[in-house]
Amino acid sequence: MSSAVLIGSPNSGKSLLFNRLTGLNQKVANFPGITVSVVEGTLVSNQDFRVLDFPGTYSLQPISGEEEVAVRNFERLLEDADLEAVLCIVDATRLSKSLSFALQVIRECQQAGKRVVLLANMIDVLEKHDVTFDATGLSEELGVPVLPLSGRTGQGIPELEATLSKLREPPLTPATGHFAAMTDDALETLARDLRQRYRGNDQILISNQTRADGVFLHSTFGGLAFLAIMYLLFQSIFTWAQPAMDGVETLIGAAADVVVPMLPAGFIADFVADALFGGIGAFLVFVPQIFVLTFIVGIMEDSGYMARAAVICHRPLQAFGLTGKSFVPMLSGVACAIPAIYAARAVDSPRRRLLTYLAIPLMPCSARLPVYTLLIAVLVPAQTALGGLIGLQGLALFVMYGFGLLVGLLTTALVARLAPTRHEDDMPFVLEMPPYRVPAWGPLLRHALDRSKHFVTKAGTIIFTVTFVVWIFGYLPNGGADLSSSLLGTFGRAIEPLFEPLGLDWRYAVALLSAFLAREVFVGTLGTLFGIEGAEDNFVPLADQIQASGLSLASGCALLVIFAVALQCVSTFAVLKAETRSYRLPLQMMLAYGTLAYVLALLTYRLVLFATG
Amino acid sequence: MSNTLWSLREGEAATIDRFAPSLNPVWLRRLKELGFTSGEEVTCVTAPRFGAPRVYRVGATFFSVESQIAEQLLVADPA
Repeated sequence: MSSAVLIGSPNSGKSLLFNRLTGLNQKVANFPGITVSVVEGTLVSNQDFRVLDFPGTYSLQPISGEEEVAVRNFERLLEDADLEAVLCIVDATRLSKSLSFALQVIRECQQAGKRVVLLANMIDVLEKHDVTFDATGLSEELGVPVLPLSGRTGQGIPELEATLSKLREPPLTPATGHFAAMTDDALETLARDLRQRYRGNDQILISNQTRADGVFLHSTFGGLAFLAIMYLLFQSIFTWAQPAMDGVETLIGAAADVVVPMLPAGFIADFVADALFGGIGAFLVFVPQIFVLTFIVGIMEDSGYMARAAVICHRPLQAFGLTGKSFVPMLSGVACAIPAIYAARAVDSPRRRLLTYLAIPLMPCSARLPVYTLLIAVLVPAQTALGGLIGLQGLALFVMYGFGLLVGLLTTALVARLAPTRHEDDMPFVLEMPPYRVPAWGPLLRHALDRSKHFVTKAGTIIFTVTFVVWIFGYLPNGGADLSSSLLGTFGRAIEPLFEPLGLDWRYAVALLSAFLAREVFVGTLGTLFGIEGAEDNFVPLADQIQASGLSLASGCALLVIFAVALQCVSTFAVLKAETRSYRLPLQMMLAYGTLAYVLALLTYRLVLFATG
Repeated sequence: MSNTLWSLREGEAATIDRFAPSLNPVWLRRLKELGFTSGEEVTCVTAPRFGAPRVYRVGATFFSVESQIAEQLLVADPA
């Protein structure tokens, strides 16, 4: 199958163009280093033509993990006979940062005998400001086609598709080959010359960015704006998602009311009521929160604010052995540790990348959100303070997120001090500041929906399996008549001594163990357990049932601490193993974080007992 | 004696003169690829306190650079 590869510097709009060409929904954002692996699709206009999207790189001599992925794959593909063209994308509004790389790509392609098409993206922005771009002149100087286009508006896409359809009709690209023998210095001199002649009137494009950075990166206002945005993020998870959560809960209750009476009494009806509606239903209620969280993090990325947040955080994170570039993987970890671990490839210093790996699993991921929400609903009254400005449950969630962050930072600080620094491992902080933009709402919404769907399908399979097993063991041998004498009760009591010091009975012990597959399983398992136990009022919200069962504040806090610290996610373990190419780090982390979680939970339990008398 | 990029105050512009010999060759190459070349005009856009990275503009592109690097770029008054 014929193919073309999209390559370019970070934040040049590759992924948006890729999505437009292929109709796929690859994540896009206004932040350098969002694409960290190779993605492929076929052209919407020609299903027999493959397009590959590579991570952005400033050079063909890589210095970071994601650049290595791009360059290694690019060099391999140049030897592929099916590769028809290299589509080198440059940001037409900021040619100065792209030209060196574009010349390197042209040289490499001419040496390998491959065609190059230069795509001058974001041409709509130039036209909006009446800035002209001399594509013909640049094309004549470089000896390759230069197509002005916009991945955002679709302008120039038909011309690109027409160009791709004619690739097999030589001579599309006059192979002058005059770059093939050029040295690095000669390329750099040419790039400097082209920068001066093709930069255009870039003053028009920079005034807004300068003004906005004066506020968002200000020593005082910048820090305050950062704190306000973070606080808004956590409050909105509760306030914005609540109506949708109530709606899902009502729907599940209504569906149960209709479906269960239609089933013959006995095993099937009990299973549908307790395991399906009680277990899986209890988990589905939290999906709107995942959507809101992903959507707001997406707004931060797409607006250009995320890079500013990385700058604001650089100095504070340095104190803990990290870098401002660690901020984005860590904040991604608030959604899910898996993409966050991949995003850590953008941290160019190997030492700081390792420390970032250590911090990510302690970030309060969305899988913890259902657990936190449930336990906070049990332990904290749904009241507001300061005239309704602050919700106590939202504040409690903010504290839990802060606690995870604090443990993560203290861990990296400790390891950074224990492990000696090698100079060559310590890369300095240089980060491109993307322009501020109005977010592309359509792709953002699609990404948040995809993320929610992925969350349900990924976790749903595990949750269904676990709730099924838990329910069967709780149902046998006495048909669910007495949960404590069931097989599950017997097993639970065998492991209960481990959790007794935390004031937790065997039901929580079973739910905690099941959560080592994935944290959110905890909610489903408890839903099933309480569903069996409270058969006559199955559809009472789980939080009410837990409250009625008498979970103490001290034990609830201990549970929260365990979920904040322990590494309870099989997928995180697997991705860490894949990225470090060893079981050593994930095994050490699972053991260390598990022990730390238990010790901290015990201390918390004792402290809360002491404080509450 | 030349000033360094780090010594520029907010809003000040200068031309890159040369690079300190102590600058790591990997970073020297990368800075040139990003547009920080001799003779190029650079403007300090923001210079927050507490040693936070500063934002510099090269052409129409903005980069946040920490002191470790900015102190190794020697600058002269703009031409």
